[in-house]
Amino acid sequence: MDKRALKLRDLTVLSESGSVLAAVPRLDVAPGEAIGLSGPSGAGKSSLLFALAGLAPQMRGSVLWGDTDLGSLSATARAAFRARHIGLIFQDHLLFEELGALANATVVAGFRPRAVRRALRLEAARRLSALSLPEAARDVSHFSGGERQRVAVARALAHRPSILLADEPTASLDSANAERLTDLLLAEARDAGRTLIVVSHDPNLLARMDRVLTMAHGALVNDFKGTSRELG
Amino acid sequence: MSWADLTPNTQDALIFVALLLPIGVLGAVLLRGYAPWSLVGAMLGRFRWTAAIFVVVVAVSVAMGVGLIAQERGLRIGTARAADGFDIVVTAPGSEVTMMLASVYLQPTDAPLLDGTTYAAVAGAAHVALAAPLAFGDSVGASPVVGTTADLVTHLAKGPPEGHMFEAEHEAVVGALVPLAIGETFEPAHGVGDGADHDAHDVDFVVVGRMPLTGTPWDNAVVVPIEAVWGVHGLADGHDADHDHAHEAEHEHGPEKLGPPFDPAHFPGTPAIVIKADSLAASYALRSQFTRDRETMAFFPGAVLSQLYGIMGDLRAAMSLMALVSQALVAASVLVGLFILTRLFARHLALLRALGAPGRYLMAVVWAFSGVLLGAGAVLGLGGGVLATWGLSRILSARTGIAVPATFGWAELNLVAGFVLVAMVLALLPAVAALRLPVLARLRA
Ligand SMILES: Nc1ncnc2c1ncn2[C@@H]1O[C@H](COP(=O)(O)OP(=O)(O)OP(=O)(O)O)[C@@H](O)[C@H]1O
Ligand SMILES: [Mg+2]
Repeated sequence: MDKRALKLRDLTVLSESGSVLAAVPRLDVAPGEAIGLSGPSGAGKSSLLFALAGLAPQMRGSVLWGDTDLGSLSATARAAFRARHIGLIFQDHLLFEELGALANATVVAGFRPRAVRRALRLEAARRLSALSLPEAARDVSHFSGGERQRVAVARALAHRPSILLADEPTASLDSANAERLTDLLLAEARDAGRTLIVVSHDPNLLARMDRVLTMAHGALVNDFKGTSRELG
Repeated sequence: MSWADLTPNTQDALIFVALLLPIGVLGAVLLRGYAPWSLVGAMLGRFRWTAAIFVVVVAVSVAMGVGLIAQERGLRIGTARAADGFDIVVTAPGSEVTMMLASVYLQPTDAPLLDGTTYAAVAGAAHVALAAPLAFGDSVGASPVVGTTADLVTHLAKGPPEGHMFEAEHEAVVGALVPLAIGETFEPAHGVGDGADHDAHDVDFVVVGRMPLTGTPWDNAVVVPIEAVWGVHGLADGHDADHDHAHEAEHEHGPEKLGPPFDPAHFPGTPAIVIKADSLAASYALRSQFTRDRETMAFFPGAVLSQLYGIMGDLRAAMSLMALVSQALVAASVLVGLFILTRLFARHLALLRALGAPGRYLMAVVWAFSGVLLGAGAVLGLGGGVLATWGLSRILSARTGIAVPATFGWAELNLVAGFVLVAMVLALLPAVAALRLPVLARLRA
């Protein structure tokens, strides 16, 4: 069954201590849809997004990607699911500062079968050069914010996931770089039919999504079907 | 073929392999199919100072363990070798240890003397190939002056000295480490060490020969004819003075009478006689022969040493225990250190987990990181221990004259292998702990 289709049923995301961070009774996302998730700070956007990746401290209910319910999987199985299907992009890049761009982009190769490693490296190198990133071998601590975030995208895509989750990917970028990154994310999602869910405050980014969900106090308060797809 | 049939070397080698094998198995199980090394390398680079300090701590402790074991063995071998040339020592009844220290290791002591009749009886006994009286008490700088016979010098040096043997009363043969050149003259001081009286003797000696290195305290000694020692102290010279007097004309021109036989009537006494028997069986017979009466005591310095080692066996056991306990303490602090190091890259580990890394991969990264540090520390420590042993041996050799060999044996290797094994097993604990880190909290931190 198509892992790109998302169904949330009676989902409650809880902190370690049991307080509710986000609650979504029902949500359906079609395969290949591009979703924006916005809302005020502290609304629970990141909490929900990480729950979609199986990274919630605790959760109740179902997060169904296709027929896989992350809520019923062990931590190990959830990690394995992420490794196969999900690409994650974080607000502050979270790169390994001591590694080069290519090593960062292929850091997941370390726990891949030997047969896959080489292909993964070649693919990542190709993507980095397509993103015109300088000196793939140099460590990334000298990179600009835009460059770092592009490396982070390359890392998220290295294992060809069918789902792309991003938490405020443009928040630390200037508008030119933000626009470039938005182009990149959308292109990668559309070209390969990936489901894309992006938490963002960036109106330019949100305007280009198929749908924008708004959160407040841990709940979805608005589900806006955009027109960009029909127009574009 | 049973374990006991194997040579000690084979046994030790097998123990070594048995200690390292579990590490290999552990590594194979943890790392199989993974490629954690570039990440481990990056972590090492990132935390290089912390890592370096950790490696140094491990290295120092390993070096101390290795040094302790090697030094103890070196000292044992060295002292035993130093006693090799001294088959039997005959002295007045008393402490064998004291007399062994005096005769073999040239430690100053006040010992009762054996008279000329006793010496003659010893020297004349059947199966005695060599019977050399010793005389102590003077010194040149830091070197003791020992009076004895040319035969003993030849025996200890296993051949003739460089230059030539002393042939006149005021000639001397020096040990290999004595800072006097052939041809140099010296005036012995009475006594040894700081209390020596430098004006007591108004006699000049000339160095005519130098012994090769013997690995004994005699390498530091200045050896002169025993007649000379007696002479400078105003004693008879062991030979019939009347006889000399009667042939005074000859005496003026010919060489003085040196060495055995000595005239019992003109023999001033000796604290110790070194004997060489003509066969091993005869050695035992001679020892009982000269121990039986109340006048003398005979002993094998080698056997006395063995006894001493036997007594010190407990001390050795205590030392080994100390080495083990300190290694265990270090292993414990290594464990604490690894936990702290693991916390340093908790964020990295959380990120890897978020990117889908399996638990075994996280463990592999932490364990491989620990392994590099421990391995580097162990290898450095082994090297450091060997260097320290070598340096200490040289210092000890210079101080005592006993050639303390700086050897390197299986015991050290196995200590290090055991330490690494324990530490690598303990390193699993922080590796497992890495799995329990709350991923999200670390990512948000
Ligand atoms: N593990 C946790 N334990 C307790 N409280 C948490 C935990 N994680 C998040 N919170 C709290 O839950 C609320 C929602 O946090 P979340 O990070 O999901 O918000 P957000 O919408 O992403 O906000 P922002 O736009 O600032 O990133 C916040 O008040 C936050 O402090
Ligand atoms: Mg957030």
